[in-house]
Amino acid sequence: MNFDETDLLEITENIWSSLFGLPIELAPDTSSDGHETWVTACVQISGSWEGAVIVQCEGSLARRSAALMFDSTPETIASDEVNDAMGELVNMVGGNFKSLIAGTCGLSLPAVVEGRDYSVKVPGSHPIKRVAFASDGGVLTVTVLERVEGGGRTTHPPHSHAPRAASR
Amino acid sequence: MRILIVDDSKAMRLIVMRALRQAGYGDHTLVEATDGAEALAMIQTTLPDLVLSDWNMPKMSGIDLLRSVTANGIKVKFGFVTSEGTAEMHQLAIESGALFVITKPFTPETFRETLGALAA
Repeated sequence: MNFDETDLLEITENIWSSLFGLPIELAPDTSSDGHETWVTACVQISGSWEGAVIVQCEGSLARRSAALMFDSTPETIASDEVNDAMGELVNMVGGNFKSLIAGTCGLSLPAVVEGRDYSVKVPGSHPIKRVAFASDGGVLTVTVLERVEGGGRTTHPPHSHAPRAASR
Repeated sequence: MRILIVDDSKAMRLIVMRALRQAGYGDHTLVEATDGAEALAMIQTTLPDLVLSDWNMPKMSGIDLLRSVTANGIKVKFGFVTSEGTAEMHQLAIESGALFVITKPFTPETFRETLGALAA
């Protein structure tokens, strides 16, 4: 699938600032120190194009942004509320990304996981685009994976403690 | 006016309610349902004036909720608030009886304009 990278950037920036009211900018895709937890939220797209959109957010940034959404504090925000906020974020990024795809596609419900030093695997797919952003002193990434017939390949092999969307 | 907000995301229900208040609907009765099935039961118990529904939800999707409402002969103003922004889905929504589709992300002005047009 060919898509304009600018569209993905604009979609992410527009949704992030709209949801959380926080400024966001492109940033280097750097490694973490491995001590930070990451929240990973994923939606899958199926139909005329098959793939997934994954948003990965540093746990501390996820808590700060969710706290803004729920009028709470990062210290008291519940894990369910953080997962809810990140699930809605990826649902909106995935839904808006889906509108760029020709043909008919369906969007899955979001899945969210939080942890430290892990990788994310979407069977039979490979990353075709990964973009990193900085916001409020934290990092988030957006990865688009495309499913390929007969299995995928890893174009961005894990090399850091930050979770990477990988093929299997 | 009684407005039923249907979304499986608590965060999004809060955002929709916040936007409605900022759009001037703060003195209206805002009620919530977490999926289409719960919304249908609530609609059958107390008919709202307007339903604002997400599209993708567990148990019963927004479009299935709309179809059930129509099949049961229930007359209620119905609109979608969804991240599904394709022209095809907009067409499906309108053909199924929805009055409008608001695409996420939105602003309070979006609700002001859309709901204002309904009242006009």
